[in-house]
Amino acid sequence: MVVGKISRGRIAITVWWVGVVISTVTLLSRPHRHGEIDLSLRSPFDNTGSGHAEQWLFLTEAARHVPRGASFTVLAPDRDTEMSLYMMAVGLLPEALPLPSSYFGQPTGAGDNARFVLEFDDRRDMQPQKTCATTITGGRVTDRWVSEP
Amino acid sequence: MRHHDHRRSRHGQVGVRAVTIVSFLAAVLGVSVVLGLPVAVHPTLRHLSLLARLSLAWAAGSLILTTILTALSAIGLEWALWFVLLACVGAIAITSWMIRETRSAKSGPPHATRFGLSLWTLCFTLIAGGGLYAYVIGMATSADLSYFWGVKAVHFALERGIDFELLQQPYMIHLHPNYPPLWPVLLAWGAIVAQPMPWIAIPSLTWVCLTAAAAVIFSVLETRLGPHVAAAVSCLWYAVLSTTMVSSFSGGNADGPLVFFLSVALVVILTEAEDESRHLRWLAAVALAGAVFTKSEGAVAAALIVAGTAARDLVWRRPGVLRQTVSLIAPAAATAVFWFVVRIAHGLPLTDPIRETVFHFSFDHVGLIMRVCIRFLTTGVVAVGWLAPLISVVVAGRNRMTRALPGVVTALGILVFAFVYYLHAVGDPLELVVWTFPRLIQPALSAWILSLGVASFSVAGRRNPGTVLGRDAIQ
Repeated sequence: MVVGKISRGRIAITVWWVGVVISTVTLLSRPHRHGEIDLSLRSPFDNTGSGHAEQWLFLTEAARHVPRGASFTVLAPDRDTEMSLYMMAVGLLPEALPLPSSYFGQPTGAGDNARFVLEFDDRRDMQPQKTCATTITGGRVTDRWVSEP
Repeated sequence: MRHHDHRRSRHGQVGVRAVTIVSFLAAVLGVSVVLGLPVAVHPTLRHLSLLARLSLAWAAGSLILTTILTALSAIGLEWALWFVLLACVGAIAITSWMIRETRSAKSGPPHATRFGLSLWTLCFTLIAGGGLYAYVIGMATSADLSYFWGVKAVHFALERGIDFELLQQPYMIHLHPNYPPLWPVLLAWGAIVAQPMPWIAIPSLTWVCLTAAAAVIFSVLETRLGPHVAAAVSCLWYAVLSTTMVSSFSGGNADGPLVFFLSVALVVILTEAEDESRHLRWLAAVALAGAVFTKSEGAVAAALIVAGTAARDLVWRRPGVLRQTVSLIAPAAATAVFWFVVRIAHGLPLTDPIRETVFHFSFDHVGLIMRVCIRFLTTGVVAVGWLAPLISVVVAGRNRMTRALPGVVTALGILVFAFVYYLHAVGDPLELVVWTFPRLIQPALSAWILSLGVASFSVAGRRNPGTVLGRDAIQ
């Protein structure tokens, strides 16, 4: 009876350690399975493979062109990316005024009143006439108040 | 010459970045630890390891700091550094008084044997290293950090308070204005000190939460089940939760602190002996308050833990179940009422404006929801987290399932809650399930592992449950 109890306990504890080994190996092998690792630490999303890193880098560079208190909007090739960029921009340009062109996929019209247009992924078709645009990583920043020379 | 200048300026940037990160972590971790020092020296926790007590101090301090800062914002006062420093001085004074008063109190049982500690240390180090690496290189960062948790923090830091005006704006409902304030307020506090907020360091705080929780779990289990069992159970918990947090991209969101608070509450409750006083209940009650102040689903999990605990105590025929249950839930209820009043007073919504209307069910996608959820639950490390404790309890602890009730009720209750939540989805719920389920199940997994671990190796009805079998188990 005692032997039975001890062996049951041994089996149980072995099961736990097998679980520990499997889980630890899975955790440690994750970067290896990921493929090439980007160690530049440029954004919090460098190795998520979700596309957020590109959006992050675009917005952090765009932020340098938008002065404190100025209004801005973001444009992207699709509504999901546009919403993602808008949500991120509220945090990455906290001292500017965000006006969404679309919100959860629905056009708002608010973005039309923004001074700066942050166009992700080279949306050149949206270039307003006679405006001053600066090309940055991942897109372009346009100041609607400044005319082209 | 220009090359040298460029290199010098690059080094300068790296230096500034490092200073920002260090001051952010010092503010978020260091100040919280100081505020929570009275917890670290509390006589009922003296038997725990130093690492465990510091972890508990940090968690309690985070709760105190958030409560102070939220209260200041609620009454319209700016967050002032001197106020937090004053609170720190108060905490230090209380701590030194407690140390003087309890100097003569008996110390707790001895710590782990060399085997238990060395094995635990080895596994702990491997898991900690793997987890930290994933967060540091940006492999596990949550999109929600850049969508609302961190965004709120940046704005709160700029405003030196909770920015109620921002949260009321129509194009800001994606910030989830009704969500509890602990995580963004804590990050905002760090941002005020660091200036600007080092976004890149925030995912690593999830690692801090899990590591701190693992230290507490090991230390509590060690004194109850012996070092060998404590090492096995806490290592499986740490490895499974670390892996699922990374794979579900939870870095930097509020799931880390939520899992910490819920797991601490559970491990304390689960290791209570049937025939002894509930002298650590206060710690579980504070941890549940922390969970409620961290995430909306924290309230659901806290209610489930309390229900499971009451059920177990009733089966055990313990005296004063009603009184004990009320005292267990009281701090969490007070926290919920506090945040409710703040929202009412400042015109914030009570429910989430971008979520579906409550009690508007759709049964069209039941099959799809079940299929996707079952696939998640039975894949990879998540499956290990369910199966290993289940096999263990079937082999060694079938007759001790009453002890596991608080955790089992919580684990299964959270799964039922998730299913009912998905029934509210309008249209195809696939995206909602895929987006939220891997994170929703983490408290459930934690509760399952802890409860079946304790049930597998404890001896019913004995003081210091399981010490005998816990040591015998691997002989």
